[in-house]
Amino acid sequence: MGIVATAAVCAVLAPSLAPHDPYSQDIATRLRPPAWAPMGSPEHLLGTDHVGRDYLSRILYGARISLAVGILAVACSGLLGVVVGLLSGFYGGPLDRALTFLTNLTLTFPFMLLAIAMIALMGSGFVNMILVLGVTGWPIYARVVRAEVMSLREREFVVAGTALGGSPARILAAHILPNLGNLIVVLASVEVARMIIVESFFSYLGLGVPPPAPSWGGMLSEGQLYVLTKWWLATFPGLAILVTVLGVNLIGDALRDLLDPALKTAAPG
Amino acid sequence: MRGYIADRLVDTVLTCVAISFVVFAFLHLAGDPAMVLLPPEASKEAVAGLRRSLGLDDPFLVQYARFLGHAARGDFGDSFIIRDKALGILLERAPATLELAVAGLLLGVLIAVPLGILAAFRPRTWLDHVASIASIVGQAVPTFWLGIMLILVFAVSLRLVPVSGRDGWRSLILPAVCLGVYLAPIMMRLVRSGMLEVLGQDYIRTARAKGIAERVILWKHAFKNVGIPLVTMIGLQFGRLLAGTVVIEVVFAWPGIGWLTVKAVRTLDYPVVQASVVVLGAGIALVNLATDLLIGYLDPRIRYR
Amino acid sequence: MTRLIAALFAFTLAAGPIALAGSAHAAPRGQLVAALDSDRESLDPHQATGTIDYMVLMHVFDHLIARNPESMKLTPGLAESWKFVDDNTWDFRIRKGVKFHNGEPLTAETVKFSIERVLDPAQKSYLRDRFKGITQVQVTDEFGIRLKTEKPNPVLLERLTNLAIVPPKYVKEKGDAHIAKNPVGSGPYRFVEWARGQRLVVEAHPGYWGPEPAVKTLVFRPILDVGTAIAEMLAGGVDFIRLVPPDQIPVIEASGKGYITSAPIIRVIYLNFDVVGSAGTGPVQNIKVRQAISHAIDVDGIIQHVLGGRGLRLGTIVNPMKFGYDASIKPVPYDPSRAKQLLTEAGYAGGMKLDFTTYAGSIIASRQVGDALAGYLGKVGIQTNRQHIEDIGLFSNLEKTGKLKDIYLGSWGSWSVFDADMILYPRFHSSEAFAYVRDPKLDQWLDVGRNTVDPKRRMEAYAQVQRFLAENSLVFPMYAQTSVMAVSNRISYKAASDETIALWRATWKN
Repeated sequence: MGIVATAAVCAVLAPSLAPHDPYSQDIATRLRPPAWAPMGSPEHLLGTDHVGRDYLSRILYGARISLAVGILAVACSGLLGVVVGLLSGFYGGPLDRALTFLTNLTLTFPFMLLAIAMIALMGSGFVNMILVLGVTGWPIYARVVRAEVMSLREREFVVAGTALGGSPARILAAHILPNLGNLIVVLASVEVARMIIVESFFSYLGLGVPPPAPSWGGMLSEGQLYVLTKWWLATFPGLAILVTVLGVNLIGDALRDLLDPALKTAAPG
Repeated sequence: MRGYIADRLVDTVLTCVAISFVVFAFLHLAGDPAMVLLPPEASKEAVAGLRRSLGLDDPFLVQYARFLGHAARGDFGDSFIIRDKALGILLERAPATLELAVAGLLLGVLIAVPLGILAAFRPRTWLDHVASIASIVGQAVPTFWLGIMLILVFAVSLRLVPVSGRDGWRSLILPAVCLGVYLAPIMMRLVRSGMLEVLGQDYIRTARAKGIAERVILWKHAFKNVGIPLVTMIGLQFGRLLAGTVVIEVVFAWPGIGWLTVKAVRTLDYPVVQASVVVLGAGIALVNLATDLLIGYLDPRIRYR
Repeated sequence: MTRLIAALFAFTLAAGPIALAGSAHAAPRGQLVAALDSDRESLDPHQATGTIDYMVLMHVFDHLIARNPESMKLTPGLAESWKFVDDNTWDFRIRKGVKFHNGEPLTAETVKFSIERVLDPAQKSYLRDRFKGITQVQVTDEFGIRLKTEKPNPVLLERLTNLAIVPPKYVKEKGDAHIAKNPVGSGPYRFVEWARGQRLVVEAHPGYWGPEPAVKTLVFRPILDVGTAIAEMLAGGVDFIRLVPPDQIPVIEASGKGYITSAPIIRVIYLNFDVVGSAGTGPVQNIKVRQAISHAIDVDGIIQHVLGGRGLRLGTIVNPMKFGYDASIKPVPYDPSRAKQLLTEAGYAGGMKLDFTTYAGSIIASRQVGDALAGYLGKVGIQTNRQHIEDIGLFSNLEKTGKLKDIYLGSWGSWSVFDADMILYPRFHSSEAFAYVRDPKLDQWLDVGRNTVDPKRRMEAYAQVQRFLAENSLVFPMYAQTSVMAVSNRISYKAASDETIALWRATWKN
């Protein structure tokens, strides 16, 4: 929790925390190592990048972009996917068939191609990146939620709820959703991380959040070439991603323990 | 069961047709192939002539029907860029991607399932922690970075495998590991959380209380219930593999269809894009069909709904 | 974790070579593997569109005229000698006894066929524009050929270094689609195998008319990620890398596996403006904005720091090694405050956003140079909407269809033609695919330059073009590139100024 909070604080407070303007370059002082390494200077705590921008400042600002891409993309895709999955799994019948077909269609359409085609058509950019990730990411929630709802629907407590005349909305809210929490949280926490990583793939292919905006994925892909000589270029954004993913997962685990239906249903006996 | 299979088959065919429609419509919106094929100084008559010969002046649906008719016979036309049969260009590279995808998926499952099960059986022990840390690291490491690292360590320093290219099974190892590591974490977490949930349920606890050996519990009850989300997930991952394979193909100079298609999309090489999307889509649809059937077999409730 | 892997790597790097000296994966002797940064699309020399295709196919095909790798002067190729009969007529004597790799003899008829194939509009050859001034190809005797041009054509000899001679019988029998995959030429190497996306293999042709190459087998491999290509060289899997980012030179040099060979080349790097708005209207159609951009960028700084001093600052887009270079045009000085002032005058005091495209391939360290350019533009208030394209074929398709909006980082290698015509005409003549500039005055001067024999008048015409370009800031010339090639320690090879890779000149060390 603390980790993600820290990352979020970095993101929000980047302008006041960052020692330098993340876009301001000085190519005379490019590729400087971190302050503690030989040749490093206290001016640039984490060194400078290939055009002499302060690396710490870029990492801090990068938190904004990477977290925003991850969270917003998951929010988009998760909301869409859960709604589709719920409706599809709960109501079944023709609605289910139609929605399942749509889900399968999106899944079957090769994801990367769809995303690349969309970016080729709309141009690369921050908002487009989120849209593309959101539009291509929802089916996974839909399928998993649908499968789970279908098997929950047969469980005793739901069957009982229906038999007692509960309205579908009430049954969804009272019985099904809480039982899905676990699954959705696990999925979403993995997906936030995946979105951050997928953005880095796009950067590697030259289609990500376009430079000079600092995204961790983009910085990592730029640093990849320098692994043998300028180790800090890939290491720091890599660590930032790693720590954030760790944080997101820990939150996911904590929430899951909080929501765990097995514990909840087991406790009252 | 037969009705269920028929349903799924119809779905699969419909999906393929729908994909072909989506890609056709999408490219129709994206740009005019006559402009791609001819230099900008081409005269208006030349453009008009080409449009006529390509049938671009016909109504959209007529064009689509013609495309579908040709596609059904495996004819997607010649690539605008490479000047060769689009389907041929694609199919000569398909084995490389398929090989990589299958090897990566297998490796992913081989990593994910045992780790997930072990972690669930010994929750909150060191084993569980190691497994979850491994999965987090696996998620957080982008394949292009992992790829170059694997190359530097195992190919450059240790000289155990070739650096890049597709030349015998040894050259498959690093790309497949990369893909496996990319795919494993989400599967592992699913297996672990699914197993935990199942292990917490009454019938398992009853079984345990009755003193049935843990191995029997595992295979007979628990794993059967984890199987559904897992198989679903593998089906899902297959479609997603491409996201990983494009990057891996670039890093390892692996001659697959990923990069070819990315390039085709961006150069408006319609025949190749269409062939690629339809072929890949059909492949993924078939995998999904297989997973649906498997789920139907694992959980009869689904097919009798 | 990353640190851990880095440490592990440092360890294995130190321990590895001792433990496992002598790799099982090193390329066998006699075979040279060259890494290319993109994949080929066609092996038909009249269809291939890029400089790299030309460089690769030079190993298989001969041209009428060749070039001395040291002096860059034209030398006999398949044409033993040539004569300037009158302003519109050239006579060539074709080398006797030359045979194609399939045994087909090479005669004047063969040459005629090749030229006419390029000129045939149905072929849609990219070379056609360069030769369309040829009105008649006459066979005078078995080994004599006469070319008649519509107008005087002073660049013809230079251009003939681009026109590959193909075997007529083979082409007619097998068809165009076949030759695109199975090329047969008369060059130092004959085609063996092409697995698209994987490798192109050629082997030394024993009956070659010229000196026999020392390297018997050449393998060209497309490796898009230069990091992978460098790793291949460290592991001994690749002997040649065409473009090495200057920041990676120490990696090659410290490895003990290879060395760097460099030469100033005729490729020039520039910032292109979509002056006519072929991809859409934008601020760069305003001259003040273009001037502002030219003042905003510290090209000397980029050369010194990003390229490690490798590069020659230019005031004009014509390379100094070319005929037609105008030395009187000085580079636009770096002056960010002037740039800001110009932007204010143009009505963009509040800044603006431009599409900015860069691409990998041919431009050394293109991503770093592109980032530096974007940074300089940012300093004067020009935000960039950046697109970096990782494949040269893809880029040139967008470029030649006029789809690159606002500005892009461009480069022009001139296909080894040392004449101003080969950059100014295709880039600035309104009839050309690459033109993002159109002006009747330019057309007129360029036509004079292309169709006049008198070198003085040509010089004048090109000086006018270059002055016009500079006065109106129609393009921002930055620097002439210096090639940075990595060569493995197994072979000797020296980079040449025409940017070609001529591996038939490579020799084995010891």
